Amino acid sequence: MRKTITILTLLFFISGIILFEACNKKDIVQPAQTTPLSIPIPPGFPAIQNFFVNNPVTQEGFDLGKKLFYDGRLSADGNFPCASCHQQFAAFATFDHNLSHGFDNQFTTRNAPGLANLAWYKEFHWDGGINHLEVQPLAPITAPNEMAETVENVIRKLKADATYQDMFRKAFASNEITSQQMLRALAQFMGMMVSANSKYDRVKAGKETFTTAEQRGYQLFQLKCSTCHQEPLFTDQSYRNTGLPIDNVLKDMGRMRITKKSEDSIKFKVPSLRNVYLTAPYGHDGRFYSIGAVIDHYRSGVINGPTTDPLLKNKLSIDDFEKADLLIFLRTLTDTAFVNDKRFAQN
Amino acid sequence: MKKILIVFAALFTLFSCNKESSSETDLAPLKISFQLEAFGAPIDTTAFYTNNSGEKFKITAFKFYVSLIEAANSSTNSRSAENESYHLVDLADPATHQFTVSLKNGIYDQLNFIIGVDSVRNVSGAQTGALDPAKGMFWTWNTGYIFAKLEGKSPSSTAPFQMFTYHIGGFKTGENAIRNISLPAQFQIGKTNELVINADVQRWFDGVNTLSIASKATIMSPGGMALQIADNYATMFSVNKIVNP
Ligand code: HEC
Ligand code: HEC
Repeated sequence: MRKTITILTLLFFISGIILFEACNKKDIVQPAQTTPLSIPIPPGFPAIQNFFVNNPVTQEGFDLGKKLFYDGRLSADGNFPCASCHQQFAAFATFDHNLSHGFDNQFTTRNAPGLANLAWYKEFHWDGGINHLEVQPLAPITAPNEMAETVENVIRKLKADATYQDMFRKAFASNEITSQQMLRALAQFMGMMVSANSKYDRVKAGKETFTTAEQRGYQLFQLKCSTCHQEPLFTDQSYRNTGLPIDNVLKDMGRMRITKKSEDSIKFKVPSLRNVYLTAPYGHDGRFYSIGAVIDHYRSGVINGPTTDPLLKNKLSIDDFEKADLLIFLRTLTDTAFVNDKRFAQN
Repeated sequence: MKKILIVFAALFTLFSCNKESSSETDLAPLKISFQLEAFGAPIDTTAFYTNNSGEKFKITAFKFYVSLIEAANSSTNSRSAENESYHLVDLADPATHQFTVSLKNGIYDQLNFIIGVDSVRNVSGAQTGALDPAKGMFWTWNTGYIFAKLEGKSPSSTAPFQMFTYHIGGFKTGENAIRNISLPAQFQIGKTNELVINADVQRWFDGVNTLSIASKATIMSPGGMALQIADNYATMFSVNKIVNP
């Protein structure tokens, strides 16, 4: 009798579990075979945005996102994968190009920024027009001067490929390939691209020390630059007019294009300066070929208009020695481990 | 031993997915059909129409989102909303002109829905189903859904190829083009088979505001004129028929 009771109790619990599982079928269940990953939060960094609450990062999703990032089939003629404009050795900016090449010998209208620490960004693009990491890839995929494709057609190409069928099944436990899954996989890959292993970070962690010139440059930076290029992301994610003369061909109104408010005219997102030595040229349209030229602009080029930032209206007084120190400090923001990280490189 | 088995069986039924099955029995299907019209007759994409500004025009595309469908009873205040309620009605695809929603049994006197997509779905990343960005109802460079589209040709248009293009959307404060529609209709979920609703494109031009193709042939971003057009098309719906057995 004791034995049967034990067996029955056991049976009861087992069936309970079965029922519980059955009742929960509608919820999104992580397939058993995925390997969870998490976006590393470096010391001193704030919490990430809530981009991943419905899109838990897994090794399988990340691998799929990486394949997509490097795949030319996301573009109309096969020649323009994301990686054609976002090159790892240039910290995922376009090396040595003010504007990038896209479909049919056309150029982008803005400079391709480096990609790192995207999980912390509230908004994307120079004008902040995009409000979620998952939907960002829709812009380059469909832009006629970038990848010139349609989402429908990209999904058709992916569905026809056996490797993708397998990878989507593994990452999302479903036999369907949807644009949502493609976009979520890309978000997983890009979200994992965290850059926080520069000399600056190691100094902050007490593992290394600045040289005296670097230290002087850092102090100047904190005094003159870090209100906008705020640590640890080196951007406060605001939109500002740094007093650049408007380019008469591109006529880029920046943030105003999104908000339509005149107070946002020719304001652009403060770019991060992490890996800045690798992401030349500089500025929203790539008009500066060196960091020195950007600093010269702050010293003597600022044009005062109605929206020019109050911090820059009187220009920045930086002498040549200070400029040299600033440049030396900015070099400590290069994260060589990040640009050589095999996880982010094409397989 | 037998007793134990009975208790066991009883517990088994007690703990099965009763939550879902009970709520499912409360629900019944209702077919909602849209008749896409121009000037009171089904849209003919080969015909020329004339709006009240005297402008001749032809329709090449007409699409809109019907979301957050809800049956309401204004005297008892009871309401029932469809789950995941997003539907894209597309002139070019007759299969989208009708769909079936699942609502709670009861007597209602209003059908409510919004034209557009609620702000939450505009800020929550990649969506799927009717909200799949592959449907072409999404602004990629300024995140947000296009709630409704009307495209066509008119000799009055100054745009290339005499086209007119109205893409209406916007969910942010100051640009909110989401419009609540509330149609009076006596129906009973569990009995009524179908609600047939007319949507007449004339209201885009001749609604609470006047839209002249000559003065504005292209609207492709939120804010400004888009709000006036949304006010116009918010008046394009009327209940044509309530089909009871
Ligand atoms: C033809 C070149 C080109 C291609 C191809 C391209 N991009 Fe970009 N990318 C750019 C440019 C230029 C910008 C800046 C756009 C702007 O600000 O308006 C940008 C911006 C971004 C940003 C925003 C970064 C930030 O800090 O705001 C992300 C993320 C991004 N791209 C990811 C991708 C992905 C993913 C793909 C592939 C689906 C891709 N890009 C394909 C050129 C390109
Ligand atoms: C008022 C805010 C503000 C201050 C102060 C400021 N910057 Fe900037 N910085 C910006 C903005 C905004 C941009 C983008 C400008 C554009 O292209 O429209 C920028 C761009 C840059 C760039 C180009 C980066 C790239 O990837 O294109 C560098 C380098 C730079 N700043 C360095 C500095 C340094 C060094 C200082 C201090 C001496 C400084 N900035 C002070 C707002 C600021």
